Amino acid sequence: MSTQGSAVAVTGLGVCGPGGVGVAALWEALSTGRAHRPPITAFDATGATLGASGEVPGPTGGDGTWRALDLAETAVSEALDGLDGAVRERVALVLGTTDPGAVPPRPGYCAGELAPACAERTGLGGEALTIANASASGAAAIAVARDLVAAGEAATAVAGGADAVTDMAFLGLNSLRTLGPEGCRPFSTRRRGIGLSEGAAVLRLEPLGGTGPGTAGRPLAVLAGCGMTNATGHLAAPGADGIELAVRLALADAGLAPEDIDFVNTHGPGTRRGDTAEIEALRAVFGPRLSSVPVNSVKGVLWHLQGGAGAVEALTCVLSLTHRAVTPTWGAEPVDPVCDGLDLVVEDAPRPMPDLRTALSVSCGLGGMNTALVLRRA
Amino acid sequence: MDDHVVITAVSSGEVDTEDLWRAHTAGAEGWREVNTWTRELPERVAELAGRALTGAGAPDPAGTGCVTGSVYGSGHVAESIRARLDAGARASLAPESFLYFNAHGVTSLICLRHGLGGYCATVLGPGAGMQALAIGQRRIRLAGDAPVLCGAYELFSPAAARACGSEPVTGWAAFLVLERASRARARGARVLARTGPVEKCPPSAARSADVRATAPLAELAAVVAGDREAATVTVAAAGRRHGYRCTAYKEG
Repeated sequence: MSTQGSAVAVTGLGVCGPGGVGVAALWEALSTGRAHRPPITAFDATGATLGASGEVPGPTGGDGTWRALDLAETAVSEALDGLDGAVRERVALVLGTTDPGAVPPRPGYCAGELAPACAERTGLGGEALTIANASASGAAAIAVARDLVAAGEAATAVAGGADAVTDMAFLGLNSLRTLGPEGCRPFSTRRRGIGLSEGAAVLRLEPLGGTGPGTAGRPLAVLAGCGMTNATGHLAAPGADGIELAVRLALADAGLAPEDIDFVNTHGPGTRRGDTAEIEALRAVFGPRLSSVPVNSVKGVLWHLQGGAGAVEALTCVLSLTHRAVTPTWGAEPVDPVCDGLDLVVEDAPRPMPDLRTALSVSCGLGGMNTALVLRRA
Repeated sequence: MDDHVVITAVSSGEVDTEDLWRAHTAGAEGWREVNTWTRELPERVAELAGRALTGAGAPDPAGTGCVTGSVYGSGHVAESIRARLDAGARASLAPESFLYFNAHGVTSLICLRHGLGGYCATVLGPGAGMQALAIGQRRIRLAGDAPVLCGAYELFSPAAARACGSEPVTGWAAFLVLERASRARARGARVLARTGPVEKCPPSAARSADVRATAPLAELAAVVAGDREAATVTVAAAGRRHGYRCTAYKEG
């Protein structure tokens, strides 16, 4: 069922990750392919397929007691810029994460306390929800927050995801043979798996045409539709059918047809199964027209921000809409023949798209979770 | 059209975690058994979810959503990985167990076992059971064609129970099938209860002795499915920032 009346305005952004701290740093990283991915020193990665991870290059906010929380606080603070304390009392916070929190558990530091703890640090008084939808957590959090705003239960919501690189996740994924020796090489013949990064990204959402504190000026973009489904035939393998369904649900939710989409930001992790299933799904939705729709993945430069990935990718779509340009898929060349006929953006600079109006962002997670978000120009 | 969100089926039951914690306590000798229970316990949660779906007359799974909540999620998997890494036993990490490192693994298994293809989310943290109920209700209000299997599971390790201010408690799972009333009646489903909205309140007003996310949903399930004639039941749970309460009105 279409819920076109559920569109909301994107009125603020916040991010930190291997591209740097802040929205401007992210766009610079996506445009130049430069990101901070040093050798891992926080734990012993000897013997793992990969010895590096993406890190924020420089200081972040927070007190150092919980890295994912510090990262979340940094991104949320940027997105709240300009909102005073009285307004913040009414702001909801929805954060996706895969972070395990303190292990063994300590009072106040369990994984599910990420959002309420971040709300306390940033002075937010509205609902605080922690969403745990695997690697699609950040995008799923945005979809959950969209509903909160659309239902009139929050005047403003800040939503996205945050994750640190922990030895448990890193070595667990290594045991699952998911890490690649070169990190993420989306859609490349050289892809062998993923690289992990720390980071956080959030969008500030408010009613469309409303009187919220961020809607006095023109919104940055409109979150027009969301689709979520967990559909796969095996917990460890993404299913093209499930990805296709999520995209179709998001399009229906936005009241748009495939031909209305100008640009697709893929999950594009750089795993053989993941890339192939996603391309198959996009071919099913877009048909022959897919060859004329620019497609990219930001994981070639940022690597995989885990619970923050879907959020940073939604944020990337907002930036593409405001810059009227699509950034390259770094690390994709040589491109796998499975991508033949795709307009994969592989130039070494952002591709100008003056008529860019709508963007689709796809996020997938372990267990078969798929989320699709449709964003359009304000 | 009756737009109320109603409950058309419930299930609730223990998920016995005793063998898992015993295996944890055994250290390296218990790791193989920990792997087994890490896979098995989600199956038992999924089985309980299936009972609710069957009770609702097996609504079309392709469109049925699934929203679950848990205070601790599958934190026990992280505990197990931590123990092995601390023991220098990296080679003993079980890839199949990592599928449940994230709390969504259990939700994914429920969807996989029952072919659910609708909206899907996992909420984590204090108050997560009531937050899941609120998300399910909201989804039906915004796009109410499809039922939502709304539930909670809790597999508190002894350490996690203490961190959450509880004595060790057994595992539990509880599920409600939520639907728009008009839709449920149109397909001939039996309506057990109508739900009021999940309302926020001060955490202190919603604090319960049982901190598991399953507690309020299990209480709802017990009342609406039981023989007692209580016309209404109000359940509550405390989150870290807010409390939550919801009243259900049992239908005859």
